[in-house]
Amino acid sequence: MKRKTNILFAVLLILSLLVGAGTASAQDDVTLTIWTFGSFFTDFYEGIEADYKEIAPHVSIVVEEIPYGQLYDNLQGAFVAGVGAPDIVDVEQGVISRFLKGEPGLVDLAELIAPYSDDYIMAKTGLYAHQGAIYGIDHCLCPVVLYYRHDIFAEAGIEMPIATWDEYIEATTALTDQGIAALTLSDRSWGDFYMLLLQSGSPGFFDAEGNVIVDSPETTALLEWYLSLLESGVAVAPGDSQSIYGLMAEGKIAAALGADWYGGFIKNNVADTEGLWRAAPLPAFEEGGARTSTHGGTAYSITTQSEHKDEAWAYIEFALFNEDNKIFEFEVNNLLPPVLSHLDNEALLGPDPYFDNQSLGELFLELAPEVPHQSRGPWFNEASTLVGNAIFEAVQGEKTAEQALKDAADELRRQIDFG
Amino acid sequence: MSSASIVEDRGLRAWWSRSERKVVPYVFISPFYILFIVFSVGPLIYALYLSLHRWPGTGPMRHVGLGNYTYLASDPVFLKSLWNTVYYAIGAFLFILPLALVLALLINSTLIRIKSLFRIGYFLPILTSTVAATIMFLMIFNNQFGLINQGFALLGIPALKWLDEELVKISVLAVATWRYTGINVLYFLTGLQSIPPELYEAAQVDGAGTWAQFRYITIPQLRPIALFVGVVTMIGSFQLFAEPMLLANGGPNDASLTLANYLYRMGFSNAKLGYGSAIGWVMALIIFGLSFIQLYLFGAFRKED
Repeated sequence: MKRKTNILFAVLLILSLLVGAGTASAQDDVTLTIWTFGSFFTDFYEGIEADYKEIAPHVSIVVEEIPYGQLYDNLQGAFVAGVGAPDIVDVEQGVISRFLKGEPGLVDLAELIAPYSDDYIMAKTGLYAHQGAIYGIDHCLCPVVLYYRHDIFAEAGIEMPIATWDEYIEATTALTDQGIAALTLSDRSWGDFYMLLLQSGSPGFFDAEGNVIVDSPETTALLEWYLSLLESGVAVAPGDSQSIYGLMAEGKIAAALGADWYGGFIKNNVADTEGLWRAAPLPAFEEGGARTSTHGGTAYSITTQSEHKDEAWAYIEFALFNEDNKIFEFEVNNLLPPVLSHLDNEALLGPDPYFDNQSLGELFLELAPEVPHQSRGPWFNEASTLVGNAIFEAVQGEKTAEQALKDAADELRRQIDFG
Repeated sequence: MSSASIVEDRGLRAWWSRSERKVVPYVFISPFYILFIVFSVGPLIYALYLSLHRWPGTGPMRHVGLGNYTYLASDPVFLKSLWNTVYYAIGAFLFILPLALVLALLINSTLIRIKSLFRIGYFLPILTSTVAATIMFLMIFNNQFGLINQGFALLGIPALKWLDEELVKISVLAVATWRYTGINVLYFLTGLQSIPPELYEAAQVDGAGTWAQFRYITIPQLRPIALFVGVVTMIGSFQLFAEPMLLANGGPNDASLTLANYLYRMGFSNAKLGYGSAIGWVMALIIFGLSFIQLYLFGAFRKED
């Protein structure tokens, strides 16, 4: 009996020593957990891991890839519960607004990004900002250009680029007469309309103070113009992306507006038309106006639950402002850096055979400073759903543009009052 | 050991020997009810509490009494989604259940020989991932290049917009029919096969024809299974989520949005936890009420003679 007790005691002693040794060496080690939703981000994080280990040997990075919808439901659950959130999370622009309500579970990064404000394209922070705080720093610039079939345009005698939308509409009647659309615009969701709204100089659905401007004269006039494009046949609304790619392949859609990543979508979905596409700056609303917009984005955010906020920001700085990393990220996921000094990197300026050996990078570099500001805030999700429905009602002729937007704005204000 | 503790010990033992047979079964089934309380009853009660508040998940809660419920009554999108959901439920009762019954009768009859062939048909749709299946249906319903409209074109029929406001609910019902008919065939088939063949033999001896046998034996005997199928279909229809979400994202203009979709949009996408909980409770009460009516109409509360 006594011998057994002795053995047990010895085992316990050894175990306690082992555990003690473990915690002693782990004290300085930091593990940062990152939640992301796409393999293209995971590949990027894994690709830069070894380099970061050299700079910060005590920091380990654990990337957890979670499907898009589930990630943000889990994140919301972690905020509600008060535990379980990662250190860093990739917040896609479409979901940020719900996290800006109440007491945001994300850290205000405004002061941390301020030293970079000359180099970082600050227009991108508007997507993640609320009441002066910035809750996310975008991975990407997502500048919008006009992709067009240069063969079809040349045949119709249209010379690109074209300076203004009025001139563009006039020039493309040659295509419209043949039943070829010179744009594709959605008749049921807000994305295309929003790109044009930002390009026109509007801050979006809210002004800088957070007031609803969905029914402002400017927004109404833009929707009326949008409807006129669809009515005259300059633009078509095939309803879903597969139809758009199908019509592009048939040459029935000769141009489309889209961000940098949309060029990749065309490339992948309309592969047969290699060499027939080019990209141009958007025609401006008036001479000298902005020739680009922005569409999409995903931000780095740090959660307030993180116990290693400084280390998390140091990692984000490394991922975002180290030029080699951003060029590597572009190679992995085609996202252009939102950092001016990176945009002239040779790797981004090469010719693209799909786009008739054009250097899209040069075009994006030229347009980057014109990427418009926007204000979003906590009610953006509600606003975009309502505006999407308003566009649908107006296109269907159920309401005039003015009535549809007024109804949407009233409902939006009612929802905001309701809280 | 002191005498007091011995007495206590004896008391405990006496209690145990008296109650062992009553307590032990509850211990054995405890994994069920512990999980049920933690993951079902608890959240249910918490949701009721939340439904009396406005709360985005963080920060202070604002107590609004029945404010969320009164807002629901004037919320056009909620009323639209309620109507859409009722539409799907009616559709399920008008299309899926009769179709399932007819198929079950056919399979059960002597007309069809190779019954095992059909077995895979019951289960395949329900086992297929909803996402994968709905993507296939998206290709079928596509306005420009979809299978149906291409077929229409061959026949000279003008293309229809299957995913637009007018037809999108019918398209959702079509996907639901594909998905849920098979499993209901199986339920009906189980019911049909449990009817004692003596009943039919006796009826034949008495000179009853096929219709009379169906009317006076099959239908009454199927009553319990029909009740089950009816209640399950009703609950399922009111909880319909993935099909309208994936087919048209609840749109266009919320034309295909269900209550479950709207609950998700409010509770999660818009972080209105209180309002989402109120929608959930209204859903639960509707389902409870309709199930109760069904049970009553089928005579589930009548005492057996």
